[in-house]
Amino acid sequence: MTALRRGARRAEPVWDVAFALAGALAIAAVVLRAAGYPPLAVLRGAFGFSLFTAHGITTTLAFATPLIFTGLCFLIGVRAGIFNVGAEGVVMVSAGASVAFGALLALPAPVHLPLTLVVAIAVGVLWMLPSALLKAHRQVHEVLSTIMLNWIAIFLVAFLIAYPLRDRDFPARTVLILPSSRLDPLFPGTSLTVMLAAGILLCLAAYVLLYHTPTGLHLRATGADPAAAHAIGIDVRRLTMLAFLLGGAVAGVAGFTLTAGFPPYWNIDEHMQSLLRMGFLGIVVSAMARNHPLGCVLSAIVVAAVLTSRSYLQLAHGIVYEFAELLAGIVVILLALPGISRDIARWRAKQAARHRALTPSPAGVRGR
Amino acid sequence: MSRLVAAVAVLAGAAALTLLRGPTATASLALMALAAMVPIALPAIGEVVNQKGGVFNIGLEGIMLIASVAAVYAAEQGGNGLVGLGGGLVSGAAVALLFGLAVTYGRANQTIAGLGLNFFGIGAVAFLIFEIWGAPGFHRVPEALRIQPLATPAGLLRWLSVAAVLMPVLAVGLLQHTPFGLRLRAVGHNALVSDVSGIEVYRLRLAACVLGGALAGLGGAYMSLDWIGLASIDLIAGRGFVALACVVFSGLNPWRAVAAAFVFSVFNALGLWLQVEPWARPLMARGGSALFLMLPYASVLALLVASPAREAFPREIGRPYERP
Amino acid sequence: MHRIARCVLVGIVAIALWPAPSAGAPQAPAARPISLALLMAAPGRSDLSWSFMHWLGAEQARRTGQVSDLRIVVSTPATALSDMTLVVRDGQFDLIYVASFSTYGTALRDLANRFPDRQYAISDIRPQFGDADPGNRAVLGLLYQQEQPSAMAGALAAALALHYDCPSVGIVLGREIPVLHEFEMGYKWGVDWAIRRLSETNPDVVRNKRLARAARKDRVLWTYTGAFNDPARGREATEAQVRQGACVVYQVAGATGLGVLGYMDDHHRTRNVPIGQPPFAIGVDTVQEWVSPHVVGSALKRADEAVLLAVRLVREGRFREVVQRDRSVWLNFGNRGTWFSDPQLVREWVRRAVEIGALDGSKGGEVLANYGRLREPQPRWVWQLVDDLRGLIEQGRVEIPRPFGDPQRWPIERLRETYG
Repeated sequence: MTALRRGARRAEPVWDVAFALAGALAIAAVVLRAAGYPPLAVLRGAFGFSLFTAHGITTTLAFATPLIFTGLCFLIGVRAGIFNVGAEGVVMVSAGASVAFGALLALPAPVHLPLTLVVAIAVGVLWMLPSALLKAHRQVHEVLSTIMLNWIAIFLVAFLIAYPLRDRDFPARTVLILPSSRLDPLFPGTSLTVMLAAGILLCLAAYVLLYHTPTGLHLRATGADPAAAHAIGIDVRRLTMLAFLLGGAVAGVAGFTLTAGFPPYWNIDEHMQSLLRMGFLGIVVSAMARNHPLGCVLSAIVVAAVLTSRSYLQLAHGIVYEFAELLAGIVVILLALPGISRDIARWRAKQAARHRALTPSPAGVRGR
Repeated sequence: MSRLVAAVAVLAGAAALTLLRGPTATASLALMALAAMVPIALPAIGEVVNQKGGVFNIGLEGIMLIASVAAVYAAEQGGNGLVGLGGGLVSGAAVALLFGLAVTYGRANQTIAGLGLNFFGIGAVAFLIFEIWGAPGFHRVPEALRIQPLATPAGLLRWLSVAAVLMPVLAVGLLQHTPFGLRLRAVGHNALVSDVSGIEVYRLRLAACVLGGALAGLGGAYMSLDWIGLASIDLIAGRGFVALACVVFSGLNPWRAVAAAFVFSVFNALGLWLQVEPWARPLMARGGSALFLMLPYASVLALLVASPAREAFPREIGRPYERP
Repeated sequence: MHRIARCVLVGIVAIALWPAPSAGAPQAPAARPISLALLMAAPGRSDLSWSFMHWLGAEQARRTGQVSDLRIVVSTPATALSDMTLVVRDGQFDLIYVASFSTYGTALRDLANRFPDRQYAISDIRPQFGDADPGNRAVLGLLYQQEQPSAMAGALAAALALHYDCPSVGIVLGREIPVLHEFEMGYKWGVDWAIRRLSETNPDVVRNKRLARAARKDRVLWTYTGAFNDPARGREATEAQVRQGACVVYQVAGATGLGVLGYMDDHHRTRNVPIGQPPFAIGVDTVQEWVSPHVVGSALKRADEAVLLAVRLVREGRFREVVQRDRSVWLNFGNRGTWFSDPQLVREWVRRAVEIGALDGSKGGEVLANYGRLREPQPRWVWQLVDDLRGLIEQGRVEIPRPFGDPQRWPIERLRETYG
């Protein structure tokens, strides 16, 4: 009986998110109706397109893949008590490094791809290092240091794209990553690669790490109450740094995914469009997943589905892009109200308790 | 000690510039920085007040965007730039009120709500500009409606710059010397105890949200009605986030927030100015523009290393309050 | 969770899972006017420059009846491939125009190989097909020679700077990307050309002037603001350049450039400098003389013309032939795909803007009056020089560096050695 109840309680966040999504869609329906579109048809269609058509689901999943990694980056930080928003910058530099390593070095095929991944991860870790050191030794707030490094990353990578990594024949983008370092799509004509499976595995690994290893326990303890953790002998400083560097590593995988793992492009274009906002969206994904690794995949898919549906809105209903963006924004902000269902339940429980207190039981006062 | 070092550094920098390029150059740079500082400092101070109460609103960018458009609309309706500024202020406060309701009574996750606010702001503004003026993307503010600055030989001095420099006085006064400020800080420190002692947690937080939103709205309105004279989806261009960075740097001290905003603005202006200096040309020829554009961000990092915040953030920050 | 809420949720989910209508709107194209799908990158037409110009062209085509069905789809890199495929597969568009997708030449190639019976056009990308590729005859590249109008901007700027004896001229750019290198180098070439030319034809105006005496690398102040969407930066960059002595500033920065023009207005107003006196600005992409009365010229990159050209080719049935023969079409002074504004064009533009209601009548009159006051005080040799260069470019008698259009021949590193 208790196992069932425990299971039900664990599933609560899922219900919360689902409920919030339903609420968000309801509001979106109202906005659509106000703008003169048939709400039910549009929302049904959007949902169906993003998740149940071949093009939609592959796009959604491909879109979700890097978000899983950037989501994990933020999530690991939050669990360790830091607000690590540096995924944006790490994605940039690791993407640049992936292109540099993948395009400028000719290595034999079996080695090239994994090495590129290693390089991306290493660069990600290195880029996070300054923030980690500043936090551990100078108590510099990580939000600030990571945001500054994000910006520096953007300019650095912009320089790389315009000068050293520039394709001499095709200056509007970087050189293409060599075939020996490319990931091919799972289905031709899509951008979906095996990195999705890697993302799922990484989430599982993160879950195991955080919840079933001593290091993970210490990390979470550090996040929950650093003073207490320190008091019982946990090396808070080392664990904080670990959280940063793990986050950097995972975000580095995102950078790899967006270049070597992004068919059929395998490059970065001069506007860096494929890289921008990925870190930012990772924060949304993690927050929506209540910062739990097992929720990351689903959360990433939900966010990706909402964003993919913008295509549907334009293609099927001729809705202007600006309006589609607005709708997506509404849905995302409303996904921030997962507490509503719990509150309703709690309110109901309170009502019931009050009712019971006012209505004496027929058997008289029962001993408590 | 670090404050002394900082003061010496600033004076040394100003002296060096004056010697190399003359007093007009230094004055021009200062004025440019003062003008650029406003849309960063004002929202930052507002957010400081907000965070004292334990709520953190990362949706400043969205608020500023919406306010910048609303301000122009209000100015056109009211026929006066000041009415426009008021409109920006009110719209910022209104949007922040919605946010506040979501994160207090709605118990929403403040991160997501703030992010959603940004998303919403970006989408709404594009939509609004098209709806109100029929032009996709931008609308020039009629000359007559703009706030007129004070012209000096070295450049333009804007009234809101003066206001931004003096705003910490008001903020500190509010936080330290009024009952409201005391109660707000109590809520930020320990919401449960405040609740038990009869302080209206939600209402105070809402008030703080509204104040923060009003200042952010004023910052947005400044950009459209005063400084740039344009309503555009790209007007704010990330300054809301820079403001957040300044808040983090400040350790919730309004003076530090303004100082950070000013330093950032100085180096931002320098990053553009130095590109045309003769000695910079060899660098620029090799793609060095990126280096100069990094300057403001590197400068804040350097500032951080030199002068980390001493004041800690309130314990309750980010935690939605629920009466148990 | 409350039971009723759970039921509501299940109900919503059930409705949501009901079979959804398919994406794409199948439309039978009309016989004479064609159907056009315009694909752009986010943020779409709100970028105020590149995508906006394409949208303008598409709108113009629609308004003049050349296009009966216009579908605009804005995509992000994650969705672009899917969107493109769906538009091609499910829609029956006569022309699929891909704008602002600099990397998607490859994606478009694969798509065109799968659906070679359609007609595609792409801006700024040279389609890369092998002879055996089925998509060989399907994709038209529309490429711009932006160095041409930039050269004219440089010549005009240099001429004005010589007349007013300013030490330098300026260019304020957006992000440092190779396309912009072409604008930058064209401008610098134009400044150089003007001084060389005038030294031969009209040495009096060059003698002892600061711009002429300065070293070639010191004549042009150039700033990359790092953003296409931040008018405030454009403003600050311009202020810095004007302070350093630049009396003409060419803006190549999209929305950031609006700050450049705004600064000019404020500068003139607060210092009571009348219209017709420096500093001046030169606009980009579209006719920007209406935005500020201090804009002496605009370097036009008519992405809207590119769209109209592609539409025209499809309507006239010449599309395949042109693709087969040329693979790409260059938009340049020859076909007015790029151009530099002249008084006739400005007047025509204002007239049309008033006609369609984009500019109201009184404002239109004001713009033209200011334009006259701007041009009138300038010596005739300035305008003569500009027209000379225009003629030379049209006749192909000058060679302007093209680091984007012909990067193997004009690598940016070598150009920087010459021009800075």
